[in-house]
Amino acid sequence: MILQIISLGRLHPLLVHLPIGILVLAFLMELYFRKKDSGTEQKIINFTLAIAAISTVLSVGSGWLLGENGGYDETLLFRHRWMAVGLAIGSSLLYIIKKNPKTWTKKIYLPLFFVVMGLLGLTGHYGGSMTHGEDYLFKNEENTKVVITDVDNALVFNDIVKPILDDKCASCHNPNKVKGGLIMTNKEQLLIGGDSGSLFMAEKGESPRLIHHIKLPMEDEEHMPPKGKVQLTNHEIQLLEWWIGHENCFDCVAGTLDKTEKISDILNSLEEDTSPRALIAKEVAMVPDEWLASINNNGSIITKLAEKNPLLIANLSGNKSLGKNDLKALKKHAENIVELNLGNSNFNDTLSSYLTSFKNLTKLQLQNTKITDKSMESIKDLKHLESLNIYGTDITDQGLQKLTTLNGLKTLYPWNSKITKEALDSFSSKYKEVTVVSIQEDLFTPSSLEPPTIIADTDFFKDSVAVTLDYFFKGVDLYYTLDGSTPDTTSNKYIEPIILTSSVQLKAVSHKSGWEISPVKTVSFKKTNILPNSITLNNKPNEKYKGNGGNTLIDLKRGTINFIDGNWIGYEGSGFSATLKLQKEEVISTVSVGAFSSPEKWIFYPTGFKVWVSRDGDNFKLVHTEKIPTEKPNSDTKFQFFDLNIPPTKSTFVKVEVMSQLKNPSWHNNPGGKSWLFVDEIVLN
Amino acid sequence: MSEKKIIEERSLILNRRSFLGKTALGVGGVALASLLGANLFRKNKNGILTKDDSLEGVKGILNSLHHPAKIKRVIYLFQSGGPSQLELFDYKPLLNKRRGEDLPESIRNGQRLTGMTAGQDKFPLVGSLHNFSQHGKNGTYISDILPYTAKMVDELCIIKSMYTEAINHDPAVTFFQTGSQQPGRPSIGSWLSYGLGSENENLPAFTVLLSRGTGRPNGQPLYTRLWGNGFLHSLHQGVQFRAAKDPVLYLNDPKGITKEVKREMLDNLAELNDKHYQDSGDPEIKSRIAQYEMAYRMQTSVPNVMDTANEPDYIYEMYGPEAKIPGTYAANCLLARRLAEQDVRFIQLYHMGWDQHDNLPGAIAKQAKDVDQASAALVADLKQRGLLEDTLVIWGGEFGRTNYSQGLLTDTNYGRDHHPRSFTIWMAGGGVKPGIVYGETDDFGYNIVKDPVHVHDFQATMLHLLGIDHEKLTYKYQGRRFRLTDVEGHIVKDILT
Repeated sequence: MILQIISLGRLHPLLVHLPIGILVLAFLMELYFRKKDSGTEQKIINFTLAIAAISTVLSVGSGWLLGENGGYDETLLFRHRWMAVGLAIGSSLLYIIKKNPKTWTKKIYLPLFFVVMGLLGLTGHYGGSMTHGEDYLFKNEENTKVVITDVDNALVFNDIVKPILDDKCASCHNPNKVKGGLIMTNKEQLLIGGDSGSLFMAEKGESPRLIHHIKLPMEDEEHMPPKGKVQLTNHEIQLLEWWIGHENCFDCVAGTLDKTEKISDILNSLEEDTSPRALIAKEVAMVPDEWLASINNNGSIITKLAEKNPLLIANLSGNKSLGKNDLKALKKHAENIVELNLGNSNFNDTLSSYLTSFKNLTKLQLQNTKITDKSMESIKDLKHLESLNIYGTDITDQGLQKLTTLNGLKTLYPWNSKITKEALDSFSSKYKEVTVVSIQEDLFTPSSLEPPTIIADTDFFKDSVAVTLDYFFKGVDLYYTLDGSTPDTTSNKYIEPIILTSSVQLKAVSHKSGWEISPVKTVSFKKTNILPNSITLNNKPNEKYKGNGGNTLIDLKRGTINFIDGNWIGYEGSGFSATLKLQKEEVISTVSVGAFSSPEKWIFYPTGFKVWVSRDGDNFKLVHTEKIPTEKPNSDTKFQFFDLNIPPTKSTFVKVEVMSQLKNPSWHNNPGGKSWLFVDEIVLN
Repeated sequence: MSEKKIIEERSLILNRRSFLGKTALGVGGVALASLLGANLFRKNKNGILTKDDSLEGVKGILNSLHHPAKIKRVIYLFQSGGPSQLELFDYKPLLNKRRGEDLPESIRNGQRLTGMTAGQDKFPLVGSLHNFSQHGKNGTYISDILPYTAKMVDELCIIKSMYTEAINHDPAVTFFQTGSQQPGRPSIGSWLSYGLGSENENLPAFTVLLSRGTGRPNGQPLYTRLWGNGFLHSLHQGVQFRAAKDPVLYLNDPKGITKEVKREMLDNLAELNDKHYQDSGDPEIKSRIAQYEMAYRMQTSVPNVMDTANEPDYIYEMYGPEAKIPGTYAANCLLARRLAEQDVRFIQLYHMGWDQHDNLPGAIAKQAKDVDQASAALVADLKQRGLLEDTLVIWGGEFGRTNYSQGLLTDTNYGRDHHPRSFTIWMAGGGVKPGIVYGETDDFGYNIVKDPVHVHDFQATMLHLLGIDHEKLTYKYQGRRFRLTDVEGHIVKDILT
């Protein structure tokens, strides 16, 4: 019963509007109709004052009951209550005076009315302060929202949880309005809790009180925030749960707490990007797709930074027919363009004036263009510029000075420009926030000389071959010998390509004063001047590596390091012999056999050779036998010619037998396995 | 669904139907015609396909990126064969101390072995014969056979905790390139060409350069399907640039054909193809036309890019003595930089020969020498040109090598078998933290103890840096939406700036 009466107090917010409106109306009517002394108007005012007085009394009554409920700041309540009482008395007096005017009362009527109005204002103000907070009228509306730029280092309570509580709970749970005896505006009060107990404690089988109230169904009157007030978002509820799950987490840092992926995602979404680009993005509008499409059809490539992002990247690089129209076309939305690439184009000083319209550029690329210091004039006012690329341009120290006005500059690429090292060094030391990108000059200088590179079309030629010696950096002298001796600085110095007309072994070294001489590099060049007419293989090569049959051995096509290139023929587990028929009788003095070795692939060099010659094809005379020692343990892949010197003999037929290792040697990974023999050419001289 | 999408979807359906013959298509063709607006049948005055059609594929399928990108292009220096991380980046002195001891079962933990070492009765631990020293601001350990890489260590993000399931070369390389151990799917470059298109309309978005290593010149071969387009349109395949007079096969005109004659031929061909397309709606026709047009543009752009003669000498110095020899890794790195300057989206190098099952110490020193200076020079060269901040350079192979010796262990020689459970790669460039080491393996160099990174994670992270959400770039094929990372992949946030 008592509760029911007290709940009548809930009508107070409703009733309170009546005296406010009606008293003001009465007041205005009183002022307006003062001049006219008509009876009707006075009657109306009387009536209005009567209603006003009644509604005021009812308001006071309901307010009194509401106040009994508790939960309000005592001072404010006291003032509000007693001013309201005064208001009730005053408005009643006004009615009485109006109804029965006496001379002396007439005098105080109007002043009284003013006083009543004043009381009305003050009562209303204190009432408002009780519900909305004391500084409500003049509260700074600007959201003092905490900006989290680095979610890992954010303080969980101060930066994440407190803003939620302030936003959704503090309006009823603050020092001025203490609903449920609970204040939620600071740490101490939160720990104390309210009438029902601590927020962090849980009833048996339930969540901590704070969470319990939040998670109650909407219809439940204990659900917080109350129905009708702005509710907590799903993210906010999860964050509060996460926070409560960690005991006494008032000083903890977000990065140190364990979290599920969901929480991580929510936290990351709280992170605000305060980078310059993000700030620029807030200030510009999205560019219409049609404009983008039409620009892209004309050679430039303009892309959005990302979907839903208004910023643009403009790529006009490589455009050798860039003109002012290309830049003008971009002017319409120049403020959206944060990145402009004009590198390797014909951009020059005349076009540079158009750069000034791109006020929001953070990255500008002008490498390999014909710009000079003049263009720097147009750049120096780009206050958002963070990265500038001028490599390969003619910018000098003066141009560099013009860049000192770029306060946002973070990276500069001046490589291969005309800016001196000293100027860059002093710039760097003066403007420490700017990274001047350069590579240490001697980073790639080798510590010792390499032998020269020997370049020739082939190492195996018919008439002559030109051999070039090269070295990958200048200032190095190259020396060579053709007679098999070790070259040094007294040998032939390389000036121009060497023309070889006979078989030689070329040895070369590199030398630079002050450096040790390089190791020797040796390449054998073989001339073949006797071309056989035909060749017969006396045993067939392995199916997989038969090349073109015997012709592979006389086609003058040298095999490569890749033995499956079709220029080698292979024999598994056996040697072979071949008979070459010459076009005409020749004097043969050398037979060379090109063979391959790659022990890891079970391919070994021949172990011996036998050479027969004949003049008629039937009678062969053995003229040479040679044994080659088994290879030492190695895993190198290599190939070379084996030269067999025979006493010069007139022959028309030459038979060569090449003997194979047959079985892998004992040091091999698979000893005893069938070795292979690979041969690519047999050359006669 | 936008009209363009409807057209694409319908034309994909018709591709199958066109196989069944024209009569069956009669009705379908009409239906298609009514669905389509004027677009497809638009002719300009000469009846030639318009610029839009000849530039098909240059614009990617994504209208805009999912989020701002940190990089615009990728140079992937793939070391094929499985470089031994224990001789290059992962310093494990314990293995030297306990040399010859058998690999404890507790460490091996049931890891499957390849057929090559399964027969061994002992798995003797062996540490690197090459020494390691500390380099850079953080004292990172790098092997002495990578002196130039060591000099650039402050630019690199070294990930020591890579892992894969594949244990043999082909599935492993296929896994890295396509996201699946079974072949048939598009490679990374193809996905990027499909999603992002080409930033330079005169060059393909995806180029491939190969080189053989001196450590094992006839090592594991590679297959062209590793840079294939899978089920995407054929114009997204990787274009191999060879070290030969004709860098791109079949690009140059036969003798006697001038550019004008070629252009006229292409125009007439386009007209015929256009008619064919109207009848059948086969999207491969458009793809083919686009490739002819791209080839035509490449006839000028490719020689320009490949002609390194105008490079100054100090650039050749940087890349090393082999940089002037076409077909070497060093020359390819130099080309990669040139291609990057031309905004080619995905430049893939393959350097073969890292499969050191035996004779490892000698062979790997040679392999390392092949790549060390040029890789470091590439990073430095990109940096000084301002390209490193929006390019990603990746160096790594398909798996690592075991901490025990394969075959005979002697004082001077040993081999290592494949090891998928932990290996090292490095990345450098935009969006990646420079000068850090991410992830750790145990003292035996066998298991990962911290921050594992799976192949799919690596792919997801790479796509993320390019502005693509790896779960959103998909292609519907055989009834399901495929994506590069298959059904897995988490972005490795800790290595990102």
